Amino acid sequence: MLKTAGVVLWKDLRIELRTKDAVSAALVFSILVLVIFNFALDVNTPEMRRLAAGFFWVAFAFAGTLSLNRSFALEKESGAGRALALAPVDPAGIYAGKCLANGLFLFATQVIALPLFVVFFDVTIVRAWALVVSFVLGSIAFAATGTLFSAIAANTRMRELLLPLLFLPVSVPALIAAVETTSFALGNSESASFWFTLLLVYDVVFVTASLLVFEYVLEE
Amino acid sequence: MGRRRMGSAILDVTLLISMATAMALIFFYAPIESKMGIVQKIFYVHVPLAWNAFLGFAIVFVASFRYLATRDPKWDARALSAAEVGVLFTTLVLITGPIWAKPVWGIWWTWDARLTLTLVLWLIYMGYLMLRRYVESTERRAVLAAIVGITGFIDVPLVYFAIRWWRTQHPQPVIAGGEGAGLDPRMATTLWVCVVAFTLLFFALYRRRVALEKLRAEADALRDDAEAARAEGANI
Amino acid sequence: MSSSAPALACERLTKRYGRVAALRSVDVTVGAGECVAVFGRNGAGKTTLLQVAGSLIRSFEGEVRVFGVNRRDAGTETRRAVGIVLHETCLYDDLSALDNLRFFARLYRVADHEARARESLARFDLADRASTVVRALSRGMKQRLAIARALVHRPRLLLMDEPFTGLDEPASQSLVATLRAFVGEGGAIVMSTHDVERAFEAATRAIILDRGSVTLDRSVVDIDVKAFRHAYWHVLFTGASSC
Repeated sequence: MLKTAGVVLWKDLRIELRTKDAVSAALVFSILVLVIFNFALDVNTPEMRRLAAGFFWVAFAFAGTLSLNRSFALEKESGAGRALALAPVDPAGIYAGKCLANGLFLFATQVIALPLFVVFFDVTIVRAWALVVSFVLGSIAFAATGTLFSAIAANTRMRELLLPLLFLPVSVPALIAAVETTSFALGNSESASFWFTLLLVYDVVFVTASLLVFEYVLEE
Repeated sequence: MGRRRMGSAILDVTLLISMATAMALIFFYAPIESKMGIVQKIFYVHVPLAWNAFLGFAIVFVASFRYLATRDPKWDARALSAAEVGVLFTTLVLITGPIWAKPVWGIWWTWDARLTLTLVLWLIYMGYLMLRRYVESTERRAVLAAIVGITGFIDVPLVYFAIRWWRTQHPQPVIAGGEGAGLDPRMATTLWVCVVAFTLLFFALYRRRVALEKLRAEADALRDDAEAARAEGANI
Repeated sequence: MSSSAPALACERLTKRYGRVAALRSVDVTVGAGECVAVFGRNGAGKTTLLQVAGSLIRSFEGEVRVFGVNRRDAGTETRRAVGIVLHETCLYDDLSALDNLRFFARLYRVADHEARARESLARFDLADRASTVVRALSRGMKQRLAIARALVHRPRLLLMDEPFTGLDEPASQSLVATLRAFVGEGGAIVMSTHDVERAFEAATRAIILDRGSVTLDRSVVDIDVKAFRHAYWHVLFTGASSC
């Protein structure tokens, strides 16, 4: 299974390196949302600055769906996904590869968007390690459920609508935890151990569930 | 068949009786709450509805599991029916909540843990139903819906913990613990009767929906038969 | 998986969509060294037959065995022995030709995947397009690459859905040669097609499917091409079978 995951990951990375579609789409969209927040609300007040983490993750949650959508759209495009599903490989490996690829793209998007976020909202990173952990666990969380639901939605005629509709409600616990951990990293709270634990639990639960269930998504 | 009809009839009668009893208790037996007034009585409807909303999704979960294991369409029919009745009850919870909140606390929505959880549940239900709508093939629809039913349900406890902890960290000006605090025994009785009545209502609707689904499947099969026969006839 | 069992054995294969039967009690056996061309109107069941054989369709009635292994129990080993070419190219449009082949070779755990990918590319006359993105390839090149993809893992059974569509003269000739070579090395082919000429050049057997049933199954040497073409057109246009 790991080998399959590795091959699939390699493939998705190659495609992304060439097209840069996933990361650029998510990046542009999240910057757009952050800018719009700036116009819609006065984000230069201390209260707003405390809520900065929330704005970041909201922007990211929506932007993330763009890159997640792409993940399986490219499989459907010329039927390559079918050839992939027919190969003598463990479906869980396909999921693992795609999930890792998506996680990497999401993390990359966050890292690139970070400087802009710091500038727009005038925040200071108090605990850098916490920020990294928050981003990593958050990206995995979104990738875990996002990859599963993207694969499911790819089978339908309204995949752009269905992916966020399925994915966002289920990601609520992860979203809350991600915001709280990022907020902690920005110095707005004194402890976040519960949230880090919740995020970790969420990641483990959903990656495991998806690994078990993915073969059903692939069958035709 | 006769026995099933009888069983059905008995359940329906029991439902009617319990609903009537429940309504009577709500209006004539349960005392008027001192702080909130008569509006508080929505509580007797709101809580049973909420309990059933979650029960509905538990049924979706179990039926989804059974479907993946057996691929028997009747489990898919049960999941679908539980989801439809469940979403109805969830919607009613979300409506009765604000109706209660506004006169009592002055705001429509309180973002308290339970209500927020119900809202997320509603969204998960909607995702489930909308997915079903947009998948063409019957078998794929059942399989994909089952996966969503299972993952959605696994999520619910995580949502609950997340919201609960978040609420303790960001307390609301309004505390929504009103209903739990010190129930007068007459209130407790009324509540229990209502829970029973609404659960019976849930199952009455659920059973009918399952039966309807079965009829629909039969109608589809007949239509396919007719199509096939026509295709045969045209070619000779 | 048995090496002496026929590549594909279908017994009483029936596939229904609702109450409409796409395949009706089809009995077909294809052994090593055979190339079977399946003809029929659109909707006659050709694609369905290929999909069942290729495990794209999992629920059906009857028995289907690939290299002796029941398709219903089929684990990953039988998949390794089968290559499929569909209407869609099943290629990643944003990857280069070579990367596509590299991917599938690695996915199938082909031992010498790098060399094999390059070799396949060369065999299908695409070596100079190795780093061209598939999106930029012509229709004919894509088709050739799709066939290369199906063969990269050295399958023993090749299933093809109208492989000659979109190929120009030289490419068609080349494909015929490839198919013949494949069969010569002991492989088996089942392909659906409308191209009578090419099919007869490559095939050892011809089958006609009419509304899900086999109405002709004969060795190519026993058939006169002209007569066949006439009869086949009759089937296509009137829906009646006179074979």
